[in-house]
Amino acid sequence: MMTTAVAVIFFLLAALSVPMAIGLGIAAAAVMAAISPFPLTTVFQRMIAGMDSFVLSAIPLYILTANLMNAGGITDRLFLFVRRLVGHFPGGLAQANVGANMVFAGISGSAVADAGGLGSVMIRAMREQGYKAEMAAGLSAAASVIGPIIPPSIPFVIYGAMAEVSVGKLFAAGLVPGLAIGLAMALFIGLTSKRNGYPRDARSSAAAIVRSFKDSILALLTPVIIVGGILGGTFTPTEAAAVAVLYAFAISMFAYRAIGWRQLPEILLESMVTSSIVLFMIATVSAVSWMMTVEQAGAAFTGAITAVSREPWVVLLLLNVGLLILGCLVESGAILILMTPILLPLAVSLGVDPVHFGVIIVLNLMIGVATPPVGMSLFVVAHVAKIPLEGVMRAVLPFLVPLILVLALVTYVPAMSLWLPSLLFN
Amino acid sequence: MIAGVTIAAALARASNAANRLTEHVLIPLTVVFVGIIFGAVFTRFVLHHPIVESVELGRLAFVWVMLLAAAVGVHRRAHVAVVALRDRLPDRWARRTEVVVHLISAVFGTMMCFYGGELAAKVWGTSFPTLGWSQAWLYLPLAVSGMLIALHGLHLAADTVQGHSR
Repeated sequence: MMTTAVAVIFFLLAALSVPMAIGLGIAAAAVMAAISPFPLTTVFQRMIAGMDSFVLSAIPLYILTANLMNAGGITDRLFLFVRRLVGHFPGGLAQANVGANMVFAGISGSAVADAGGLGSVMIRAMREQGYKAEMAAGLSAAASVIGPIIPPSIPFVIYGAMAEVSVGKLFAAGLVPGLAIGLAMALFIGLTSKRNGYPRDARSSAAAIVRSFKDSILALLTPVIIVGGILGGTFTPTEAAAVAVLYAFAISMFAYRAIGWRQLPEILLESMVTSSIVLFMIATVSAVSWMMTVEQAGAAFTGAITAVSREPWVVLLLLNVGLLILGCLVESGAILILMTPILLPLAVSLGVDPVHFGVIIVLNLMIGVATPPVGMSLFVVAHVAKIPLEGVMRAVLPFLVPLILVLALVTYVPAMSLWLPSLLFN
Repeated sequence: MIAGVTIAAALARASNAANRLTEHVLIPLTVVFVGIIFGAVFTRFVLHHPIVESVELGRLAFVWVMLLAAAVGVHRRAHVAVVALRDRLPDRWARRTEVVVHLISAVFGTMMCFYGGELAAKVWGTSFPTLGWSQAWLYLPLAVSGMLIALHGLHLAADTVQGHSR
């Protein structure tokens, strides 16, 4: 009853264009005051309880690292290095786009940050080489999905905090699926490039590759620090993020001299405001999650789904379809926070490992980031490319094919996600 | 009408000044937050003497930074909202809807302020285990951020009304 009432009020407020975090908070407060036996203070106490987490404090640090890297022009260096390496393959710059997203995925942890930071650099370069702006933007949006799958990953941090699963294991679990997405997209581009007439670069000389490698070596070390530090057991994800912030600051400021002291306050502010958008939503969703737990909404949902089928492959198929549809309609972070407490008990009851399920749910929702009509990466790339959103929405559709194929593989081949964590952590 | 303009101007001044102050506080606070987490790593690995208070201190700094930044986000209209439906409304109705949206933000801010204050008062005598500070410090940012969100919401509502009457 409480959950349904919250959902109705929230969707009405969202339709009015009330910010999602505030809409959820108002809906939770209204229901708590009107029909729940608990005091209204509980909503605000749960807001703080939802935010007060050392694991979640990694989120602003990863966003700050990515923003320091973007402001420091490191994105351009990484892109140039990857372009020199793979630009001569069929669909050269499109391949470089995917490759740069894979490298940058080891630094940032957000699809939207990658779409904004890398997208602007790559769309410009692709347009200069004769690619259609819509295609360049659509590819950038689709390739940004890799960002939060290869560690570090903000959605994995959120899932880990909600599901009480080791974030280190989740980061390890995302590595192989992330590489598989990159490979699938590269193959797809290679196979379609002749038919679509995509241009390619001339093969770079070994000297040029070495030069661009030297130019970007300090930036390339960032994923080694973050991913290596966490997977090697040296740092917690939060500590690795803080070390990465200091490292990104040091190389942008002193090694590359690309940012100055004057730019720093706005980079800090912008990063914290961007992070607070996610964290404020986590805070208000925590109040709603608590109401769902009190009402045992998860058990009711599990009952409803298992009444249809108890076959794990059927339930996973239903979950994937449901999450993909939800991801197309609602902001992915909100779904992740809202649905994890409901879906996880169902998955576990069917024998799905919580780490494996984390990869499934995050990949589904990240595909939603690149899917019309509410894909955040689509909005970002359309904005940076200065082209109408409708064109990008059409152009992204072919690139969803490799993403959905990898999703099917990740869902039905648990070893893809679980092999590396079991190797590193057991 | 003139009174409306005066109130809107006063709200704008107060909201902009409060936001500038928040931004000025937020920048060093972010540096402190990053410093605490990095400091924990440094003291553990380099000095081999971990600071036990760093986890609680880091969490506290994180909650303060995020809630103050959320208020700045309201001032900058940065929070995620679905505007597809509102954008299809006729201009007049779109503005009216926007005023309602800002007022709803102001109401939620007021609630955060009131209940955040109440929670802080309730836990005043309880301390963090390692820091020894009052747990009120954890709930106070809810009250401060709520007050700012209420102020920004009212300012943005008044601003939209002014734009409409113009």
